[in-house]
Amino acid sequence: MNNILPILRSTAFRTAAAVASAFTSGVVLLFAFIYWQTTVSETARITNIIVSQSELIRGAPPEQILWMVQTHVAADLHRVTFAALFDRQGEPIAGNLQHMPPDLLPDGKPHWVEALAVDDGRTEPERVIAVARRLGDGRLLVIGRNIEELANLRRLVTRALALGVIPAVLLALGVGAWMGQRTGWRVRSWQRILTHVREGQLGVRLPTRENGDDVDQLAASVNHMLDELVRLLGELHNVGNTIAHDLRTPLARARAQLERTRRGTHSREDLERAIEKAMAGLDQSISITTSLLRLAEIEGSRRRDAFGPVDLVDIAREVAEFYEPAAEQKGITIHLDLLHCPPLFGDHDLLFEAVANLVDNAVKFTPPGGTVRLLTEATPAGPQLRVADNGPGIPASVRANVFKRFFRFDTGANVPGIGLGLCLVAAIAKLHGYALAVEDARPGCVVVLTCRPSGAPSVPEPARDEYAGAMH
Amino acid sequence: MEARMDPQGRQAGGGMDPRPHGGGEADAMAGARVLLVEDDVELAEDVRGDLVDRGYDVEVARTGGEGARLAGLASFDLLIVDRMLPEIDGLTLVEQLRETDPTTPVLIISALADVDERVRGLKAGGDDYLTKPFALVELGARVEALLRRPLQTRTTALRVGPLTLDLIDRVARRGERVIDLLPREFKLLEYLMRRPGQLATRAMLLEGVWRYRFIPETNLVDVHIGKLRRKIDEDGQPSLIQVVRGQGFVFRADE
Repeated sequence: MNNILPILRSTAFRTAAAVASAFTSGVVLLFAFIYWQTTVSETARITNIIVSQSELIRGAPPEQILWMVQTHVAADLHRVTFAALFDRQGEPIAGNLQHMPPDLLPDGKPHWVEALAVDDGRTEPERVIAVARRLGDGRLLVIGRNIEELANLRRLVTRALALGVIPAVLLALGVGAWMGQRTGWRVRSWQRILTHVREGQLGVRLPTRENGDDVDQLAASVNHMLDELVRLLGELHNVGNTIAHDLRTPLARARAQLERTRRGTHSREDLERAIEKAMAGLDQSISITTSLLRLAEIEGSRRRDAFGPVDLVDIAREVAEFYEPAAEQKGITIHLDLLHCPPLFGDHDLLFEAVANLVDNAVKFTPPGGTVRLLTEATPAGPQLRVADNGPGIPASVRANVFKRFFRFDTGANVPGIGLGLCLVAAIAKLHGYALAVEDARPGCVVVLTCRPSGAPSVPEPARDEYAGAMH
Repeated sequence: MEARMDPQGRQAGGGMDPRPHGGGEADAMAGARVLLVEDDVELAEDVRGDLVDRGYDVEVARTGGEGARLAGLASFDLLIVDRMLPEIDGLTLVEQLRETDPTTPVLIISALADVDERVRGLKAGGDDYLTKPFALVELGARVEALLRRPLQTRTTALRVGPLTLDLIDRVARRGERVIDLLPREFKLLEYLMRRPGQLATRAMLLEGVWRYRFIPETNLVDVHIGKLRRKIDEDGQPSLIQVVRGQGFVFRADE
């Protein structure tokens, strides 16, 4: 029973059962038609024949009637026809009936009666459709036809129905069970394989038969998904390695510094210098950890409690003011071109942080004497903020990477930083459902943040985030 | 009316001295009683040592329960409470304390850096929130800031040393000279002048002046302070804002 139940529950078996019942209904309808054809229609045909025969005989000249009756009987080699002529007293004159059937009225209409034939040795009366008519001279004409044949036909049809439908249904159910068993076997083997995947063996793949059927396509999709998973895990692993590298290097420096200092004798100044270097290493590790956690916090956040109306122009102006002295110190001009934008619905502090990071980056990568431009405008796509610099720019080939963790494009200028700023901007943009892109500013690069006005529906896109969860 | 700031008589330190205030002989806050509730033995010991060096009288509790008991037994001038504690959670401890004592300042220290956590900590009754790992200097500066509370003058002007801030007209003067300040520079100067002689760290200034919760990669606070110093200082005179290397800034309180 344990083996049968899953088969009975399988989709293939259920489909087969449905097909079988549809097939059965079709066959039953067909046989019902045949049955109707053989009984009702055949009976009507026979009735018509005997009625017209009886009329034909009655209308014949009296001297020919006797001969016609005798010929009618003699011509029937199948012995299904009855014809007889009785005198006024009901005594048989000619034909193959022993006596007048008792229930038969001489009204010229067909009746179902029992009749006994004269000469075939049968003693049992037969079922007959018969018509009786009184002739002009008082004699009684009976024309009939045996309908046992029809009953036989009916039995035959019923038997054929049974013989045809029952095996067909059984066959359909059998095929269904077989298919259920077959797909069940496939599904169970998939389940086994996927259990391996769940246990961490990501190398296994579902078998395909290369026949392109739906099950095969499903297997191919699952395999594709597994390939993707392996690829993502690989990238995640790389990110993990980068994080480990960036975190451990300053820690290693600090440790080496302290260890070297513990050995040997040092002046107070040496000790202070060593401690300061070690603390700088620790501080760098701490700031990377803090940034990573902050990133994870924003990436993992679905929280919109802090959302409210935000003015992009205000933010841009405030950020510019915040960075102005630093830019000035480096000989960089911050140029503002702020056109009115409809209000946004977002987290003011996070958006400020995002814009600040963009400007921080731009100031960092612009050589002295350069210009950083902040532009806002309302575009058909939504309020837009552009932060452009005329620094070295970013080649198109690596633009997609700038929002990834720890990506640092080697511009030749040795710029400090931990490479998480733009990543944070990307996370904040994603939280808000805003689009973020890097474009060519010829010269330099421009980062474009396209926001949604506060009225627009904000659907956090389930877009593939290759790095989400790296720090979770 | 003008409020004459009482100079603290303390020398804003500099150079290699890790503590700018050197334990403070005439420090009004010396001897302030601090209760530290922290379950990590080593960290508690280091914090206690640093605070004792600064002249505070420190008691340490290792669990929330012990902290609650100690806080009930004696009165403290300040509580430093770890967010995650055995027995009674740090936030619960602060909430309980606030029912009977709404004024004693509480500094929450926590490994949880989320904005949410911070908000929760301040809502529970914390006055400040510091994320681990922190620099002892940062902790010391915040402890001092909490104990001293800024000068909440009801008057219309602040005067410290040669500088006067007209809080109504938003004008700064050094002697008779009017100093041309941007609104943000005025706020920065006001923040420092309300805490004369006290160390203000970069993070404190970012939070208090700019209301920012993030630390920019570029050292912007130093640049802003530098610009402000150039505006308020005069040739041949020592700078009014002392830069304490690696720590922060102090507005000189001495004449």
